[in-house]
Amino acid sequence: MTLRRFAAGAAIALALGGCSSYLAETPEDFLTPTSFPTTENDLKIALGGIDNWYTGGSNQAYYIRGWPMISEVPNEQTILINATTGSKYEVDRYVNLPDNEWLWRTWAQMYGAIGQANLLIKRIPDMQGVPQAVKDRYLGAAKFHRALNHFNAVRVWGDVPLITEPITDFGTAGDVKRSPQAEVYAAIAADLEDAAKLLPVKWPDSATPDDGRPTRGAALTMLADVYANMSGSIIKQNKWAQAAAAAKAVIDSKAYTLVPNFADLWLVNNKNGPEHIYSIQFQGLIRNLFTSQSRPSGIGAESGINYWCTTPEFMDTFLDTDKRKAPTFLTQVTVGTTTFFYDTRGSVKGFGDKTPLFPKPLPYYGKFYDNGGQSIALNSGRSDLNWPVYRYAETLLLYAEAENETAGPANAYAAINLVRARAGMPALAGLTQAQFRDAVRQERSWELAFESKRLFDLKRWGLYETVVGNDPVSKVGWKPNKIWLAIPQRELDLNPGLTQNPGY
Amino acid sequence: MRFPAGSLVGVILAAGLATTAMGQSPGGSIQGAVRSQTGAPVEAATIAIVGTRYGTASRADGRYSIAGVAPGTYTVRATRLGFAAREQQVVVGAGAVAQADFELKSAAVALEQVVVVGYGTQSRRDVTGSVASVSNTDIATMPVPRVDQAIAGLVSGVQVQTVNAQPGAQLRIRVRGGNSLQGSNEPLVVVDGVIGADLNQINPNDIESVDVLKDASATAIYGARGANGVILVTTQRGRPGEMRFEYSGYTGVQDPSKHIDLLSADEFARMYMRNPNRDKSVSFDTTATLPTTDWQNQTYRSAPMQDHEIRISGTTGGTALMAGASLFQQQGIVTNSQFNRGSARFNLDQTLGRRVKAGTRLTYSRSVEKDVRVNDGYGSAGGPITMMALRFAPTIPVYATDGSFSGPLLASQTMDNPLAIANLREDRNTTNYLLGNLFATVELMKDVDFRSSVSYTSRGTLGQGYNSRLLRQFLGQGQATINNADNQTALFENTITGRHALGRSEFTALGGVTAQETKRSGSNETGTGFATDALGYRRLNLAELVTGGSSSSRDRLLSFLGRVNYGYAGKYLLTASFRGDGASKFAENNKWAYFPSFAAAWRVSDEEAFKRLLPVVSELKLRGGWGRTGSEAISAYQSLASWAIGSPYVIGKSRFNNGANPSRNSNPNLRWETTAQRDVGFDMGLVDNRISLTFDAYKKTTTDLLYNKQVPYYTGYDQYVTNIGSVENHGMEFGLDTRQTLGRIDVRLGGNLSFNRSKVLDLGGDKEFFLDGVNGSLPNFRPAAIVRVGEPLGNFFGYVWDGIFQNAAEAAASGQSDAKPGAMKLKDLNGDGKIDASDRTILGNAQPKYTFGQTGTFAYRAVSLSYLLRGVQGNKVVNLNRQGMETPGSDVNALRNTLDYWSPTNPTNSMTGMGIGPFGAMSSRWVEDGSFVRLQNVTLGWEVPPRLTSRANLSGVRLYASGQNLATWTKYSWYDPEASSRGVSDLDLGWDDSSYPGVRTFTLGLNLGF
Repeated sequence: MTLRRFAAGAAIALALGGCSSYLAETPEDFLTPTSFPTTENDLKIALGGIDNWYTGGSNQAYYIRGWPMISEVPNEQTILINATTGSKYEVDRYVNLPDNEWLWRTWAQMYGAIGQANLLIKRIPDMQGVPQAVKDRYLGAAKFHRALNHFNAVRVWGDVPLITEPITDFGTAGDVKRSPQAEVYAAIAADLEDAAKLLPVKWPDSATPDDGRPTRGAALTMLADVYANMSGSIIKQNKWAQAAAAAKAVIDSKAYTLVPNFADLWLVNNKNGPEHIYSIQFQGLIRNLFTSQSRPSGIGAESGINYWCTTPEFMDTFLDTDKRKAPTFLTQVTVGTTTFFYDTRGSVKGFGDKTPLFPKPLPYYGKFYDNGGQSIALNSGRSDLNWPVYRYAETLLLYAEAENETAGPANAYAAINLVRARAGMPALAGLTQAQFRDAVRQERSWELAFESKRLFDLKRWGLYETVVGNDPVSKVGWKPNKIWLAIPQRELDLNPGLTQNPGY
Repeated sequence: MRFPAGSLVGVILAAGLATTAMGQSPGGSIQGAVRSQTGAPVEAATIAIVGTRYGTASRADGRYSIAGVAPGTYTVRATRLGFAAREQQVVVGAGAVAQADFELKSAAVALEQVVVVGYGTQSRRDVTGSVASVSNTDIATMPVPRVDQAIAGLVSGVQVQTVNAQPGAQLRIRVRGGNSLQGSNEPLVVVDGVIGADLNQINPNDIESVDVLKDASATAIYGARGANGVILVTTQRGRPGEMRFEYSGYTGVQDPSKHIDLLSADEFARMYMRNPNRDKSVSFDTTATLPTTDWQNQTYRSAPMQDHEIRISGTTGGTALMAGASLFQQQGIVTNSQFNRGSARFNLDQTLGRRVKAGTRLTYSRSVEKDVRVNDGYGSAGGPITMMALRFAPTIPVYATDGSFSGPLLASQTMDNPLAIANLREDRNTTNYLLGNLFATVELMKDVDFRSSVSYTSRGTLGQGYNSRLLRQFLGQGQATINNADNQTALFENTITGRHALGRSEFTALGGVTAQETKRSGSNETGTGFATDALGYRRLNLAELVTGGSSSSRDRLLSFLGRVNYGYAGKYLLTASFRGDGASKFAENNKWAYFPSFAAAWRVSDEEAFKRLLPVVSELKLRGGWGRTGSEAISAYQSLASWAIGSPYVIGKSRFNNGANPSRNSNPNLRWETTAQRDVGFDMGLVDNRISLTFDAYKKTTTDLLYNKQVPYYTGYDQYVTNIGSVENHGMEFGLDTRQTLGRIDVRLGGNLSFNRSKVLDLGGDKEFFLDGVNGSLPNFRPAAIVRVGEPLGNFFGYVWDGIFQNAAEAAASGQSDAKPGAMKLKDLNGDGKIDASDRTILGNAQPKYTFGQTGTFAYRAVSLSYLLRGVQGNKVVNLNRQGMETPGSDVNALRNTLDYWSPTNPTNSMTGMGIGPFGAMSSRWVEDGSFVRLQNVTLGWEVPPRLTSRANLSGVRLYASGQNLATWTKYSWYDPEASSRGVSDLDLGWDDSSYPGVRTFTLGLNLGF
């Protein structure tokens, strides 16, 4: 019967005709590692994607606020003023538990960036059809990012997992252990030595050395910092000569100069200037939240979120003649015709509507204030200010410190005095090695205030216990040996082979 | 591959041409009336002349007539659900009218009921698996917008939960518990044979019946998609008898079912001023009387709902037609929430000669849902409306002096006025849904039918949203979003069914091939930075920055299926089925999977010996079955490694939006989840079938679970999808239905009771893993739930609350980081003298121990009263709402129990001290008993007697008043214990985080026939 044969034929044809090809799956809307990255443009977006760990994802990427929360807030120069509980309070007062959100958020993002860098480091050397110079630049950049994130992690948590290969088998991922700090530092230094050779002084399509992409100057400055840390009280390896050499290479490159007026450095219009070596970039809707959290509220159009203050004691360490003092501290604000002062003077009310939570008036950060530069209120409480990771003044101070440790102060004065001269401070001369050491440490405290340097400086100088342990604010939850933050509880839950730091 | 749709048309046409037109010769007619034992007319009874295609349905007055019957002697049969069928002999003479009246007896056992099973139907008598049926008469009394809402509480083993009372929101449905950790546990929905239809877009009044396939012997024919049970929805075909036009409609009003007891303005002010740590920029005069703003009353409202439908239904010649249109409108009780749906249906069945029947089931609907922000955390983004309606200080007036919405108590609070959220935020979702099915059945030879069906489903959704510049989420910016999604599914099914009788043996065999393709595409645009709120999403170009993206995917399934039913003497029944499914979304070496099933049944009551021994048992069937089913559980491409595109980055002062990030490692071994299920049960009829009893016991074991397993962050990932482990569910179900007559009152009482227990058997070597549960709202609450081997799914996890620190010595000795007098004290479970992560434990479970439903219908003449009680017992709910509202003296409004705060002179153990908030991590303090019993529905109906309506040329006039969710008995302290803010997943069940309030509804309805 024709009808039956036809129907049965249709069914069988459907069933057997190209069964296997019918079920084949080809990606329609995403790229796969087998084909990406392949071109120079692919590399551009793959490197750009690393920014997502620093500044992406609404509020949570780690340079938007998480990084200063764990690297600046716990020191003696910054105080949380508007809360007596919560995750921010916990990091400031050292009462944080291992499940504190800033710990796992920053940890996750650092290792996210490391994982992405690992994929690129593995793939770039095998890429075909991309010029070697291009491959070098991107390979150098990926190594820089891997180093930066390992460096951040090792300074915050001490021994941390050292991840140098892409993890493709989650089955064995639980075998990872915390590597000793010395090993982590060695890997960081190796990455940066490579990066310094591979990276350009500035990218071919960039007008300034700093446009947010890693450069040779950035790699070398970080390398100097890394060697200084390795030479410090924790790792105790003498790498001062290497530190000095790395910093000197930056100085000798003549790619950077100090901005003549210290106050100009901090204006949003002057970002990526001649002094900036490496900055986390904020622009448009990727905005910096920490800068407005360290800004007073209750001052009309210039109001910020009012979380972080600094202390009068720290402000008093500055000489009044120091040109850095006024830009570093916000003590008065004029909005329209009203001038607000940080402490109550006569009939004029002090600013910051949460100030009463802290028993005494406190000055605010001045560096990230940028009065009238941008409307904080119109930018969801954020600003386009970059987050400075390295600037030339630090390179000079690293050089001065390392040179003094290597060979005494003789050849170290020039660098530190450049920084001091810009601040209107008299030149140093005739110091012993120990006096010079103290001077450069003091200079770092003044020059680099609120730039997430202090905490790590105290650690490598062996002063952490003394300074933080005696800070009345930190003392709330401080315990001896609590020099390292807690490994996030989630990591311990998922990998019982990891150990917790002391004090938690 | 393309569907040879042309060939199908060819099949139909060829068959149509080959047949001759049916001859019509003048004859006699049959008429009569159908009544129940109490003498009440029985409407919609099917009257059929056995062995012919002649038939009709009784009208509202119970009368019927069949014209054009050739002279002769016939057997006429009257059937109606809820009654035993009756037959009688009728002699029809040429041009004469033969009379045949029927008196039907109530019966709770419906052996003749046609049960829809996968790819076919069976009579209830022959069913070997666990299949529950709900007919249109059971659900028509409930004016609800969704079919699944209507079956809540009616079917044993099926839990229907309103996790979100917002109009238009999805319900959570579980058939015998959840098997899957990661994948959907929602049952497969099949509407008129179309797999994967959307119940939200189906008008419940178009439904003829809902059949729920529960055990594997019934669901295995759906293979890889059968593991969660199958809900088969059959829409009405043209009614037997003449074409009739009908109107039905209802109108109702909804109110919040509960009001949370908060501080008044005076109490709030006094408490605030007592808090030594308060923000001193605000102060209250505690001697003055302050006006209270009741934000709940301001934000929630009495909201109307209405439904209007017209329908034409009937049969002429070989054509049965049911066509209708409906309009449903529901405002939500939270200001600015709404769900409207218009739908149209066209169901046609056409006989084409003696061999071919063809037809179509076509429905189109368009719905518009306006949502308000609920089920969300707080953060710096202003918060959901249901949180702000509770936390906004009662001392604040709704409007500021300049007429704008007032801000929060403190300038530093990132809270939005709830009415600002309601009025300045838009979230609108429009769905266009087309579900069409064209089918033809060809009788290839006697007792062998070929059926071919082509279905097409198109679902287009448009999401439009705007957040005002005045709201915190995008303060000073405003943000508009547009989301477009287009899903299209084509399904081509070909089956052959054959029947054969050999002596006392009867065989039925089914074989088939199906292919399905689903294509999804989507696009989205976001505009941020609006100079003005004037245009919102309507003109995205106004935004400073517009970003967008798109997505696309395709997945395909190819299947072979077969089933054999064997019956001996109608007493011994065997069923075996098989399906092979191939899916594109699984990795190359695991594309295909096979799903067999077997079942047997013994109709004990058909044995002569049994009839003699136990005459009171009028019906007894023992059943047993085993089968294997699957779950796809993941979306397309999950086995392939991927780089995601679209993260923002900045070079210099230029911003780019196409950053790439690794998002997934490849997993070449991804495969199906497989569930093996055993079921034993019986169906029993007692006392002349006036009592029906059904029992089932089952055990399901699911292996190769697909799960997004968490991995340490140092891997660069947070989770990956893999097949790990195994989960077991076992349980028992009881169903009872009784029909009896008390004097002149027809009484129907029914009930069902279901127990299900889940247990995790294996997690791929792990002992446990943690779940967040709280989303981003309370980061320090992570982890807050745990899946542990040997335990059920849905366990909450955290610290045990152990009262309040009464003095400094106790606090100092506790080893708890934030210990001080008046603070929450936690239990040191391991006794190591400090409170840390190792003191966390399981705090309760979100799954109920048992659920039940109890129904009753009382009919006296034309008046009927029905009710439905529904209960869920033994489950826990985490009430996260309280977490932010139990700080005495807080700057947000608090619960009234904070008035009894701890102090040295009030040494309570139930509330912290002045100004002291709760412990910052998950604890037992927030775990509440979620058990409840609910009066889900009461309906009073009146069938207007025909003598009152016939003069107006009306028939079938029914008036009714109905109440939904009239009372809930529960210990749960928040709006509604059914709420689950994380949606329908079994892992994230039982979190109440600013849920939509429960709703109580009263409606008045009217049905008219012309």
